[in-house]
Amino acid sequence: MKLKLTWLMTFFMAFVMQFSFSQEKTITGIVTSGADGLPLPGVSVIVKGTTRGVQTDFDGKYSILAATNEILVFSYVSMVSTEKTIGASNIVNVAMTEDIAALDEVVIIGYGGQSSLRTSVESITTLSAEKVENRANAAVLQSLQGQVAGVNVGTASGQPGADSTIIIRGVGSINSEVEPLYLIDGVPTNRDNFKTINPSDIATFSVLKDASATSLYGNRGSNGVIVITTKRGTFNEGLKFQYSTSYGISELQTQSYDLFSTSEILNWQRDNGAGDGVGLSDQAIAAMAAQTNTDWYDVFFKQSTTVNHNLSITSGGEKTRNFTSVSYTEQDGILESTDFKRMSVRNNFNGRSADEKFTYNLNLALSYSKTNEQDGTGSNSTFFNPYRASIFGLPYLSAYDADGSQTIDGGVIPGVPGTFTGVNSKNFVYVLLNSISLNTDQLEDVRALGNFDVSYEVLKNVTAGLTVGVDYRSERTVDILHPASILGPFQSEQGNSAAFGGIYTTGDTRDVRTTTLTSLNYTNIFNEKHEVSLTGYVEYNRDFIDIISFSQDGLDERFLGSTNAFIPANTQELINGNLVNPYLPVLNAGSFTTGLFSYFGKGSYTYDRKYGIQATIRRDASFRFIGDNKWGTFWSVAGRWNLDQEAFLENTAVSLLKFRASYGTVGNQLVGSSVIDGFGLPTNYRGLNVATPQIISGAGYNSTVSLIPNANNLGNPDLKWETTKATNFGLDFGFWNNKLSGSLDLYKRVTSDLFFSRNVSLINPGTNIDSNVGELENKGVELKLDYTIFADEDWNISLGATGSYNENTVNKLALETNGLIDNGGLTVIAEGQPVGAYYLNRYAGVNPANGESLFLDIDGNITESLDPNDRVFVDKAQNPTWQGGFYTNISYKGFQLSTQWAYVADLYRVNLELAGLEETGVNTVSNGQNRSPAVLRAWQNPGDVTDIPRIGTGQSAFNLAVNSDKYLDDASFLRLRNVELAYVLPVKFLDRTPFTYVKFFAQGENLLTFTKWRGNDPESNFRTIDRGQYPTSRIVSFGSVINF
Amino acid sequence: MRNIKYFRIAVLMLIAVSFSCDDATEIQQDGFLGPDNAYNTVSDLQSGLNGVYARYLPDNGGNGSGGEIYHSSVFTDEIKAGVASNGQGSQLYDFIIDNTSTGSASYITWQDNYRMIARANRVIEAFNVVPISASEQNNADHIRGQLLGLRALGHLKLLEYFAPDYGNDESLGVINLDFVNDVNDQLPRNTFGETVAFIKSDLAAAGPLLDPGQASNIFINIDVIKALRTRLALVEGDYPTALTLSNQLVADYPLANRAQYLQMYQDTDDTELIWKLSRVSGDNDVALLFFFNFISPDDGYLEVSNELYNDLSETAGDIRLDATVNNEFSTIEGVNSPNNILVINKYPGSADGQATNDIKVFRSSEFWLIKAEAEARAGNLAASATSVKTLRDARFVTATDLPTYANLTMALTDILSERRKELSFEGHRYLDLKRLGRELGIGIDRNPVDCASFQAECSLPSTDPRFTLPIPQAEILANSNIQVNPSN
Repeated sequence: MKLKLTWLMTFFMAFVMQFSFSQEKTITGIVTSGADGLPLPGVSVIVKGTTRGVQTDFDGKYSILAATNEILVFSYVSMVSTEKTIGASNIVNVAMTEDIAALDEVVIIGYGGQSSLRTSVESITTLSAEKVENRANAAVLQSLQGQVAGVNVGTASGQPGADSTIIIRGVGSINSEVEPLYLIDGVPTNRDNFKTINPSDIATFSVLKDASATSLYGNRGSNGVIVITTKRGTFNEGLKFQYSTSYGISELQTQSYDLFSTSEILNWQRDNGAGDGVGLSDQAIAAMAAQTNTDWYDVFFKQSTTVNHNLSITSGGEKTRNFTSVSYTEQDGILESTDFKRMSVRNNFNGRSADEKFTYNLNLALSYSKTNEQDGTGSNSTFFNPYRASIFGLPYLSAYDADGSQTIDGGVIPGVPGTFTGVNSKNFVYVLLNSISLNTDQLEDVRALGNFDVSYEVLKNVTAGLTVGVDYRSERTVDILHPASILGPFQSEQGNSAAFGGIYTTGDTRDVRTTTLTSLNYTNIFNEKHEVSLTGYVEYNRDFIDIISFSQDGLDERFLGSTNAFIPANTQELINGNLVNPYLPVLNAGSFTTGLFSYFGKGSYTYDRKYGIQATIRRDASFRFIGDNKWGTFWSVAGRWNLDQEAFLENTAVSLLKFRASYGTVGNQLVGSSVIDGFGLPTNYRGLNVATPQIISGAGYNSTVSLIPNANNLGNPDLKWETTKATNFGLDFGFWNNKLSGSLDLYKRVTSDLFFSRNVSLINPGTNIDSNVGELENKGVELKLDYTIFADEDWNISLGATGSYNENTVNKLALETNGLIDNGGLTVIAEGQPVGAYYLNRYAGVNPANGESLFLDIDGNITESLDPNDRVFVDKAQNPTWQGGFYTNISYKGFQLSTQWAYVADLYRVNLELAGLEETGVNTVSNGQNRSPAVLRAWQNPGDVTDIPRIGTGQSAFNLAVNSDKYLDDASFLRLRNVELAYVLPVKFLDRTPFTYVKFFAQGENLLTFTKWRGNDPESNFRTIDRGQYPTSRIVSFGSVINF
Repeated sequence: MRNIKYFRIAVLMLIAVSFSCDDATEIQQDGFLGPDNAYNTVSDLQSGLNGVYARYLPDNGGNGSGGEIYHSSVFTDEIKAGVASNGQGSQLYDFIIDNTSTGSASYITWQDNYRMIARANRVIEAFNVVPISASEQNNADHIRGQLLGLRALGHLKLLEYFAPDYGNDESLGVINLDFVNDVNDQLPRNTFGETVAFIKSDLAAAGPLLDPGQASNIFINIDVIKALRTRLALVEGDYPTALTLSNQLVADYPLANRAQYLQMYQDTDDTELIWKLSRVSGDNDVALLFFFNFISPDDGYLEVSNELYNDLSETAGDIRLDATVNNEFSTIEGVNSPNNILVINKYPGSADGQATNDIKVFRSSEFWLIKAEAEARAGNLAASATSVKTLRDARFVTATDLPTYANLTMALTDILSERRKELSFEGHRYLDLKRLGRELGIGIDRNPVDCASFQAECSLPSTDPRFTLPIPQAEILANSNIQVNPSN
């Protein structure tokens, strides 16, 4: 960030410097930044005591005439001035160190605004993208984990390009959106497609947290806002290239589960009288163990690679500047048949008039990406989840065919159910191996993101602006369940009796979001101390989505990939004595639209750098509500007091001390389901007709078309905005020339008129209506600290930490819920509890008398029955209350070693994978799934005290996992998210090369994790249960950055 | 220069502001229909009617849960665990009546029938706004007659399952719904007497509206109305009416012969069908109530109970054994062998799909048995015996012996047993035990080998309140005025 600010200053320096020349000898050199080794342009170099001076050029080079023993003074904004005495050498290179006290961080605020840490009244954290640059993650948001206080980043899957769930300051809604609004260069953006954005193009991330910051986004800001800006060129700079590349290797982080080997599982089966082990002699088991002991992890997982190339070109003239980039990323997943590829280009152009009163900008990014996935991961499906198969596959099944090559079917014959069900259910592992080898599950995304804006100083102090933005995304999905795969023949309506199997499903989605913002700003300073700024805005959004999907069962494998593969719908077959049409295609298409209209204003007043107040007001109309409920009004007030500007703190250790306070309201109108007319839409399209009952066409009786009331849209004319009132108190501080700096925030957010899908009497055509009931509260504290332990020309040692604590409580629910909403999951929503509070039977160990599981009933008495009426709150919840991270940074000359850690704490999740490995339920010994050696501890004789119930227990481990707290585990973790070792070549090495900057780096992602979680990856998107999730990977990468 | 720029900006802003406002704040999706603009023509009313029929789903369910047909078989004594069982139905078979899950018979029966009624009411209300020309009047009347018939059917089904005390006019009935209610309404139940009167009035109104020229055995026709009136008369205890109507119905609908009987279950013969629900490709697959995929030797998670099998094989040559237990796929190791595989054959699939069959709602054989019951109750035991014999003769190769009934109890007991053989897996047994079983003191008494297949209880006394379904929990939570049924 610093560099960008300083480059801007170049321009001004050109006017203030004088130029003079004298004889003496010519001294040359390069001035660089000590922190990162980058050349510094625009540094003024003056011969002390004279008026002779020059500026460094764009490559940090200078040339000046000076005599020996004269002193050169190097000075630069926000850097400590450095003096060098001329000696014998004609070359004087200087690495300048930052003047931390003078540095005022830039804060990106909403609607294209910019403020600084000293003057902002809002609670906003702006993060320079340098902190996450060159990471081996395809989806950039993942890298924010642990970097911003109060921002929870959770990633559901290790699938390359997977989305992350981001929750700012706690869950703020029950039935609606909980993730923030994202804007890229001012354009509201689809949150679920960050994989299509090139991370290298991003300049800053700004997280808007309190009401004074988010209220300006009134209609969409209730869960916070993340404002992203992309890189720009600089006026008056030469043509510059930057090329960066990296190569990484990913692998499974850990294999936490202890699994039985061939001999162990066969012995266990034999001892318990079921399964393939029964009747085998010791010798036979030994022979089998000697022959096969498959580690299914090795079969399903692989070491994979990541490759990244990025080239950017910047240039700037007097009136225009430009940033152009092209990049290519390829990330292979660690699970077989998963990968991600992305190609992207961007051009950011800025222009201005000679008098600088008129400016115009165009940012345009295009990308194409292709993802291969495995749909079934994260489900408990035996036949569709490959990750589950890697855990539960039996070790005595061979992964090889007789000829020594890796098998893709294990001899299982497609279409014959008995070969992988019943006694052969162990062969499910081959079904999965077969499916990932043959099936296709692919996404292709084309994304175009563009915005155009102009501003013009119409009158003195009055500026008018207009922004037009478009976010275009088209996505094609192709799912092919191969007709020749084991499951292929079962896909027809006629089951495996049909001659052709397999399913081909494809869909196209086109999502276009447009935004127009018009603004008029007046800013003036009176008497040098009173600054007044007033801005009015009108905003208009329209989003359009079109979806078409096609699915056909019955594929001719010989022609797969061509149109000939589809068996015609009029094909008839004689099945079960009847002539039927087994191959009927299904076609679906629909288009939907949403819109928003708002006008709002913002006013601020500052006095002499000491005080500032700001107020915003916003009126929003939503088509989702009718009548008086249509318009919502949201407002905020905020103020600051810079105590460091007061006389009593002058000349003390305090370099910055600013107190902030804000209060305001934000609205949410995204009510209702995002599944409309059978299409799962992005969440901004949810609830398109919620206020009016809808009549739809349904499947009618006897192959007819019918008109029926839509059970999912009974209509509630009383619906209105969900409103969040937020209070924030903050302190920004810096001591000892900002050697120690940071901020502290206390907040409380109360969301009322909560959107809730309320039960209605079943005499209606549907069961629920969307309505406003209840209240939810989040309160917490956030702390950010940065400390520079030591800094000089060569050394810089610093560290810092972020952390937050959030308490989430449901204050009130709808009357008819009796204070508790139980949708039959592991968690319920209840008054006085956080959202996602686990409501379970309390597990109380294994009865030493009979080996059955024991529970506590509602009164705390021991019982063997698992009665839903005995469920209680176990004081554990799915979302973390603690979150944060810390970093260390050590640099010496060109070397830099940095680490970044992230943690979440006090969150819980059920580990169904572990339960499956400890399964001892009735008739499960021969269920064809591997076990953990823990089952050897199973109760055997009266008096045995153990944690594993008897073999054949009435309550299966599955039941215990989904009903009791036995497998509800602490999913807190501390993870070394990233470690980087970098080396920047000294400038003198580059003298004779075309390069101005060369950096080599090695990075490690997820190298270390500390957790009590007993599964393979504690990371999650704050889900309640792990049942075969694709774990995130460990990535080691190497790369370089070259400027020329 | 300056002015030109100023002008450009102004134009841009004007454009921005002018296309704002209404089109972003008054958005209606293309193709959106509300109740006000959905029904415009008689054919729209017909579309509405198609949707009402579509919601009559006695065959609702699958994979271990379901409504009428499933509940009636599993709760009683018609099934045992099948060879493919993973425990589907084990709780219900163990007499655990659930009213919380959306898969429970309590929930499904209550919801399906009220949804059918709600749909019917919306179409009936639309008659007020749809212009009907003279030439359309006959058609419109026929539609309205069917709507009223279906609304009566829905209320009758609800009454049968949820009324705790048949015949007692002051006892609890169900919510009578003959209007489009407000979504927030919380209505109490009407009395049994009020619900009966309401059903009668709908049926009375429906009859004259129906066009005999359009009669079909897959739609509500005049005879279906008659059949509904007969069923209602039984519930009400009005046996003379039941006798009159069943006499008319059996006169009009002959019994299927043995070959036709088997074909009927394959949906290729309609001889004795008064009304069946058409099921086509894409509809609910009724066989999935008992099988994972479709009828085959190792796919059934539920099978015919040994008890029912024994009953049907008691006298050799009963075609109903072939119709109930699949010959080809079953394995019989011996009488009451736990290893018997008794594959249910009532839903063998049809041209519409391997698991798809039409749902037989009213068959003339049922009305022979109703006739027999009404005759016995009228004191005419000889006529009753003759009626039962008539039915049996149609099912056996040779004529059967005339049963002898010494008294009413004997007659009713035999009729109950005959109903079981004739109507198994068609959604009757539970209600038969509720109505006749309670009167006769006959509850559930399963063959031990059947209950052992689920390690479940074997018997339930006829007085048990579980022969009436509980009001679903979801209704109780959302409707503070609803009265619950007595429980033990």
